Amino acid sequence: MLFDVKYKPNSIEDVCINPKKIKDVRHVLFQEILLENRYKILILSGPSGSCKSSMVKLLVKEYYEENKNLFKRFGITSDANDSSDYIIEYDPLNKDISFRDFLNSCKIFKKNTSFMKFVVIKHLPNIYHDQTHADFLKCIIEWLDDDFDDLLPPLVLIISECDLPKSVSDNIIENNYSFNKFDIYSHYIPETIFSKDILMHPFVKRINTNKIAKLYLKKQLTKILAMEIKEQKVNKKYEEIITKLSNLGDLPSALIQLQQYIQTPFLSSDSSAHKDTGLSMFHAMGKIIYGTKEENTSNEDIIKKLRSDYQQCTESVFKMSLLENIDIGCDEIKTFADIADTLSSTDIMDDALGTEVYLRKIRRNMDAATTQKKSKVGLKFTPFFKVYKKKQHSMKQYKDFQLLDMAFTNNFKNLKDIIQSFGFYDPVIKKLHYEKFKGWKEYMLSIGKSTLTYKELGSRIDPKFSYLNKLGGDYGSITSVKDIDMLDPGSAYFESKYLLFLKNCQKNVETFISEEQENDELPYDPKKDDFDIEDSDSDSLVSGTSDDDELFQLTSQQINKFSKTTPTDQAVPENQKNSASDYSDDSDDELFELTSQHIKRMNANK
Amino acid sequence: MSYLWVDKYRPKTLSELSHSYDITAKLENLSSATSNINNIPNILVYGPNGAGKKTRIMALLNRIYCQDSNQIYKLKIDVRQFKINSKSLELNVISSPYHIEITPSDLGFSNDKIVIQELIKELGSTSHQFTPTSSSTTGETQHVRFKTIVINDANKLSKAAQHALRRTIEKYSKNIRIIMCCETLSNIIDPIRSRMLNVRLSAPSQPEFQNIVKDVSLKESVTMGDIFINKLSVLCRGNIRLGLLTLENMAVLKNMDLSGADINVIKPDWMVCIDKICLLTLKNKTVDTVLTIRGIFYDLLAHCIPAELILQKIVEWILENAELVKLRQDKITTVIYYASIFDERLKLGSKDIFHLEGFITKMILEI
Repeated sequence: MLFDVKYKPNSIEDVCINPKKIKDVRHVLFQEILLENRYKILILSGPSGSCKSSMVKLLVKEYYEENKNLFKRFGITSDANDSSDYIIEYDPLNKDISFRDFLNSCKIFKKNTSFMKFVVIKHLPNIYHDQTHADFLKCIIEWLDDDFDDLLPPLVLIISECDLPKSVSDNIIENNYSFNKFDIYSHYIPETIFSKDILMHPFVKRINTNKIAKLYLKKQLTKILAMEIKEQKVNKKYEEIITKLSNLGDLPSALIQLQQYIQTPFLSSDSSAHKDTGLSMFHAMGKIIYGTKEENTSNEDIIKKLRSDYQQCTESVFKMSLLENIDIGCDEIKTFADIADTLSSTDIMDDALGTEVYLRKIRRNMDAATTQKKSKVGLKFTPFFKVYKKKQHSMKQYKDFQLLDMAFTNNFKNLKDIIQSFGFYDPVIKKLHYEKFKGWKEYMLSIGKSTLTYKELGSRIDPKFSYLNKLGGDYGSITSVKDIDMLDPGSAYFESKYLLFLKNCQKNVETFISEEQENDELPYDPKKDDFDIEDSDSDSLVSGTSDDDELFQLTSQQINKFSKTTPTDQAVPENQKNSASDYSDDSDDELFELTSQHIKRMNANK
Repeated sequence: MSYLWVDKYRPKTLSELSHSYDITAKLENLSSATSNINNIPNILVYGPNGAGKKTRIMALLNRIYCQDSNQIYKLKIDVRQFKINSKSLELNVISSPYHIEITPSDLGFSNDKIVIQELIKELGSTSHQFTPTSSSTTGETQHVRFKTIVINDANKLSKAAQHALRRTIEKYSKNIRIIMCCETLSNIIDPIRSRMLNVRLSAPSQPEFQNIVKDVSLKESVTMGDIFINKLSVLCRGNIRLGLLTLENMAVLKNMDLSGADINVIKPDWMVCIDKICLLTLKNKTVDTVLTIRGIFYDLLAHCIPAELILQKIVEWILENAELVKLRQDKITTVIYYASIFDERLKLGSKDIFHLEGFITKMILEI
């Protein structure tokens, strides 16, 4: 029998967790969730093997034991050893029931009734499938927003945190936007699994457990060892092993290894305790920047340890974050330049080799640095993702501007030119015109005259459909990297003005149609072939009817597509599909023509 | 109708073009009625930004297809979907009945080959016939039997795409012509260069540039002093787009009066950032400066300014202001040396910031 099953803790006192933490969890579970209704969900996160599940199970068991009389009176006969009476767990392998159905079915175990059960979700559905992940998050949100008279059963989510190494090279391709980020693929932690809404939700309580402290683990291991080897005295060798194992901070892993030692004591006695203890990114960074205080550790050891324990060290996120922190141990511009040069040249090297090179380089320079390290400053994370997000946002604006400008002026501008010159000048010029017009309008209104006589350009600018501020946002007066955080108002939300414009055009045409519906006898030009060019009126600036017709369809197509891609927008009703807008010229004549065509077509369809 | 003067006063026909007359004459010969219009070659136009490459191409097409009747400017925009490895990509395709215009670099480096091939195949496999709108005095009209594909930013095409292009050009040469447009030839493979008529369009000279600006300001009734126009031509260095945009901006700002002696020219904001970077590197040679500059780099990158351009502009700044800040000749050489090293690394590597950082620290150290 495996030790981790054999020595499963039977009472809460046996669990190797700081009693204070147990107290916290107990308080949340039974006081705040059950009695005070303050929270609906408890998220319990921590490294694997830190007895999270055992703690929850035993706490719940204890609760039922204590209140046995209460439940007995309501006719519950609970077998103390079978946890299924008071805990219900989600099993993702059971394909018969979706997560949503599972949660719904759990609702019958109402809180504070005799039916109450604790819902424990330890194994999440397959969140690596985007759809499933989205559904999962939605379910949780719905659960949180569900009133249900405060009778929802207590829900406990247990997350075993882990960092997953990834081997795929991560090139950010300019427009392809595929690269690895801080996500569930590399970091399986609550921050990446749940959305912000959930984590910040007032009904969610989050408790983080730490690795099992050395002291507790050692105690536990000694106890188990004593039970296993009753006849012999615990000799020195085992003590050594236990000391080693207790560094792991992972009870199941330590138990399994202990069992191995006991059963085959001499085969594996020389190998050291191994479990990928893993380092967090900041931990690893600290090792590189600050070195270590342990004695007899050379730089060689640090690099070795890093390579074995922090498998993500080849990731560029790690490298870029290191770049942010070099200044901690390096005041001299010469060394700094040296390191920067190494970082740059290793960027074009093979991942594994390059990493080795720059790690050694930085470590050595950090050691050599004579200046006092600014130990007070915390380690910084790379602002790359913020920059990236902002870049995407700017790009969207540039593209939107491109389409909008095409619609208004029939001039096509290259993205490159928009980025370099139009993006700055166009909004500035527009804004100047517009302000002038506004001032004029105000003046005319104040002296009581008509405002329709304004001849200049400002009157044609509608702030709803044009960008009056620098595309991509102003350049911040950045003086340090830190300021980038503040630069970023509402970049998460992007509103396409082009789409707005298209919709508006559509509305205009539609109102026009409804006005003209009775009058069927309108002038109508037959459609002309696409490539057949009118040779009659060569100087005419009015575009051919066939063009407009195409514009129609194009516009409505684009609207449809846009509304598909932006879920927040209302979908365009089916019957609008054929209607369209004219964006080359909004003179009444042309609109008339367009409308009549449209009506004809609709009639023909009937 | 555009309120931007740069659009409003863009020449629409070959005869309206206002600088580099020899090239205009060359293009006119190509499209003149005496030669067989269907023998027109594929053309590769290259030259600095804002010199009027696109304007010239459009004017040429206008002549070929519509005898200067401006039908070519009836553009529409189309969002095309391309499926690449189950991923679908979108590309804006600008088209008139006579030509289409694409910017493959919008798509990203690795995908342009498929897009180029698909588009060319699609257009090349059907035959076209266009009758020029107004027949010339000779009476007999020549049919134009090809459609034109204009490729913007051709130097950003990947090598694979260029090879694909080379094959398809030959295969479909009956039905399509290709006009490529780029700022530098250096990324274009030799076989492409040799298959196309290379037209180098240089930026207008100082007097030509000033004439263009003066012409526009006359039409818009802007009064302008010599001080302003000199400052403008220093800033723009022959970039007509930049010149006219700045002119309009200043004119609207100053109520059409630019004759003041103390007038300053407003630069695009990102160029101001470059100035800031350069001044910082010259002034403070500390690690803190590097951190500050890194912030500016991130900001520039966030506004989609390509890292290569940042590097290029920094070097240009140094060259321009070397005398002002009293840089020795050998220091300038060092800067250019490092710029070339890090420019290569930028192209090979994946994370721009390392290379920019590497360059700027070297620069701080060396000058």
